[in-house]
Amino acid sequence: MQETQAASSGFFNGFAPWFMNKLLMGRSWPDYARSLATPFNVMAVAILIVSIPSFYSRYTQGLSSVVHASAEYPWGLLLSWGIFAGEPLYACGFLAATAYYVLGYKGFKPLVRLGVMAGMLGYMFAASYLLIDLGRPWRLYFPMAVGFGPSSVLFIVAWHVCLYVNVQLLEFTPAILEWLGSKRIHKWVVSATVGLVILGTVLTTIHQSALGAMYLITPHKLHPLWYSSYLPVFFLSSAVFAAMAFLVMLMAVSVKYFRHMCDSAFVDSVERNTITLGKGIALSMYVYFALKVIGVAKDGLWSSLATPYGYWYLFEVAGMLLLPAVLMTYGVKSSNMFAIRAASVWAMLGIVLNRVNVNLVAYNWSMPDHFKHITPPLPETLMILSMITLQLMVMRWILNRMPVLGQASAYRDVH
Amino acid sequence: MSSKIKRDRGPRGVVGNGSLDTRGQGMTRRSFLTIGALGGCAAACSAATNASAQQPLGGWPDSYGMLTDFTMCVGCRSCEKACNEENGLPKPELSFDDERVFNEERRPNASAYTVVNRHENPADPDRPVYRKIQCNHCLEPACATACPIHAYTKTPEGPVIYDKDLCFGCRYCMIACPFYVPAYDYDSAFDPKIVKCVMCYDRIRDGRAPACAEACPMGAVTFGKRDKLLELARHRIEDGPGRYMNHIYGEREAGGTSWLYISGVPFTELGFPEGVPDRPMIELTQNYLDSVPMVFTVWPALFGLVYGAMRRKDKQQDNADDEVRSDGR
Amino acid sequence: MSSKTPEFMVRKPVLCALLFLLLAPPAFMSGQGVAQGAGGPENRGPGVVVLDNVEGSLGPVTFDHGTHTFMAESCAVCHHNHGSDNSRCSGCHDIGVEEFRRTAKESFLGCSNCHGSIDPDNPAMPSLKVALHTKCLACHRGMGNIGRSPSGCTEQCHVSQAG
Repeated sequence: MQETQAASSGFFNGFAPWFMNKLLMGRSWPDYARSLATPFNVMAVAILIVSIPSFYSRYTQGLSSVVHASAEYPWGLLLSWGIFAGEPLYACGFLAATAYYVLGYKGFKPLVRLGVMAGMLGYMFAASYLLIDLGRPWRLYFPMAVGFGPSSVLFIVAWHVCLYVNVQLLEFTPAILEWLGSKRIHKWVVSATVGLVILGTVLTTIHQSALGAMYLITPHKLHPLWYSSYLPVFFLSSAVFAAMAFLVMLMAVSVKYFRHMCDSAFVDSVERNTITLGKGIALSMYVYFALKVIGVAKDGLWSSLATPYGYWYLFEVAGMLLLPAVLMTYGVKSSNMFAIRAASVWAMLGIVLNRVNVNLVAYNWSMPDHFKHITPPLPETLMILSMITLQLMVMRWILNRMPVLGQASAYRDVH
Repeated sequence: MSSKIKRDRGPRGVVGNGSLDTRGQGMTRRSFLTIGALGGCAAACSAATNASAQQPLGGWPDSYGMLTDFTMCVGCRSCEKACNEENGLPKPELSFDDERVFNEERRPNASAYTVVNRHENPADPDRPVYRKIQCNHCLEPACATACPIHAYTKTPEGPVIYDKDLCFGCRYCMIACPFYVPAYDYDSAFDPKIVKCVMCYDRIRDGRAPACAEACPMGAVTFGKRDKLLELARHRIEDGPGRYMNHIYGEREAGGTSWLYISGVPFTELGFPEGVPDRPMIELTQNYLDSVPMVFTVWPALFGLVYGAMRRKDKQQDNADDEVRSDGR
Repeated sequence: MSSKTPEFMVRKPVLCALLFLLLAPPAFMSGQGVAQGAGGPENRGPGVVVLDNVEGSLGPVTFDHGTHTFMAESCAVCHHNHGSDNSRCSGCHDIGVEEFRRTAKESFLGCSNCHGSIDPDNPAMPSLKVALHTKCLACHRGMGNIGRSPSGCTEQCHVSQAG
């Protein structure tokens, strides 16, 4: 291959120009620099710059300078958004890969790489939220190597997320290898894919449900409408449709903003896959709704629904779960792409709301000054915004360069 | 043999150039069922062993405990002072003699393992009730259950101790503790840590009583063997029926705690959390943790089965297509 | 105590109180502190006892045993195992019934004879510090700041060591 030959003929003559070519997508420096001046970039850089003092203060003056954490409220929006709300969305990798490789949805082939990439990136960013929130982030690896607490649900989460990120990385290496132009390792990795995908289903099932199981240990702190012995099942089943909704949104964004990187197979499959996913989303939302109803019924909580927190619960379950499910059903029946996409975004917002409710609103619900405690201060909000911005920028960087939305031509017949 | 195979269109059929003979290759129906059955058996076995492994927790016979009698505390805060000196904690803003601390309700924090709060006594406004707060040293601590790094240890002597050289600050123990005990040093950037009473574990191993018990002049804080303290508490309640609530807090709460309390006013009026279950907190997550090995066993079998079935279906489809193509020729 | 009170004692109480103090037998309390003065034939025990095994920043307590004997209804108020229903004599005295009548009145035990340091195997038994405070504050609690704030510790009892 032209590129590998260039890479092997010395650093300055071969490797450096090849590397810059990959980085700048074949453009010259001035040309590339000019292309960076977009409104999104300006806003993104502004957010990043404004958040620097918050990060600086967190790492030099401790967590108290950026969050409202206390002994009663150890966790805040940082973890609630970064980990609990993000994780169900990032199950998109597991979902796309399992659907294609194991369940035989051949039409999902163009979607797999996109899902795995978004999922892998998402999990890595979720781990970086930990680097902000942990008291001693330099000890992040401790549950892997230094101290084992297997009676802890968090230990399960840590191990399974760590293993899963590695599995996803391995699943994604074919794309990286194609970008770099390597063939031999590529072939080996592809043949291991099915095994990796099945391992991924195990790891995803466990860590998604474990995130819910973490709150099993707080029966008297969590509002009864959100506390249930079914918490692991709730979190797992809502992750399923969150992941599918995220995939729908990813496809919509890809064909709108990254059309130049999509190949025809991808573009042609978007409508069909959106409808298929829409059916799956609607089905799993109805199942989840039924589970929630069973949860209320088995604990006899009907009378709690007539309290202020009960109304909030009804808003979450009827307004942010049942209604989007109905819209999704309509969208699927009438093949209305806009309705399906709108319902997907609505469903994802409902998931985020549910996680924030469990972590922040329903936790310690009866403490005095509860809402004051859970409101994040400005530095925390800035840090979250900058992390979201960074994530979008990294995802954009990858989508613009690596063959995620379309196969590189030399590899088309390999799988 | 080959002539018999050539035109056979069954599941093991070979058509055309014989390259699609599935007998020697990958999954057959028999192996699907075998894997499925093995998976099911493994799941059943793990479920059976889990049922027998749910043995009752052994308890800690002969362990030490503490008894706080709220009817005897006079709010002198000698215990706070002794704890502060014993553990080398920073001196507080208001001295131990200063009564102004009682103007607000405090809780153990990064520089105080224990605090004493004043509460109104509904029965006698002139004699307020003082409550000493510190770690309850549960028999089956939720913090130790929750810690992913095993930074907490329940010692056989009774105290629940904490290793700050392991802690990475996830603060899940603070979520798990039913009594909101662990405090975190959020102000430190480089040395933040969980802070809580360790019942002067080193002193107990030396054969001495914890500092607060030794300092208390009124005998409100008593140190002794837990079962002896339970007896003492029961005697006091029996001997003074109008004086005490008929409840020893910590006897069964959260599965039993090493620190016990008796009081003249209801515990909820002193700020004790309501709704703490009478079972150890670990029991709430045991079932979930037990299901993890099951997922590892059953999911690969299940998905492997589905994968194999899909592959077979594809091959049958390919066979049928090839046949149509070759027949159509 | 004798029930026959000579007439002149009633008329001159101060003189007689002094007489009693001078004639009381020497202190028998061991390890508790130093007793000063002597009691009379009524055996009121030591006059003043200095309790000096106090740790920390609070100083020794000068306990006026003699004055308190006038205020107490009986010795058993403080020496609580004597004449009270709380426990059996054989719990502390290794004597028989005959010897009891002869020696009991001459063998009041001081607090430290039974109360010592904290015993984890017998938490029902208060330590010496707790026993003394419980007994003293049973009456003194509420006088000034005693039993209400730490400043009360040095108002009537402990000598302040703070510089």
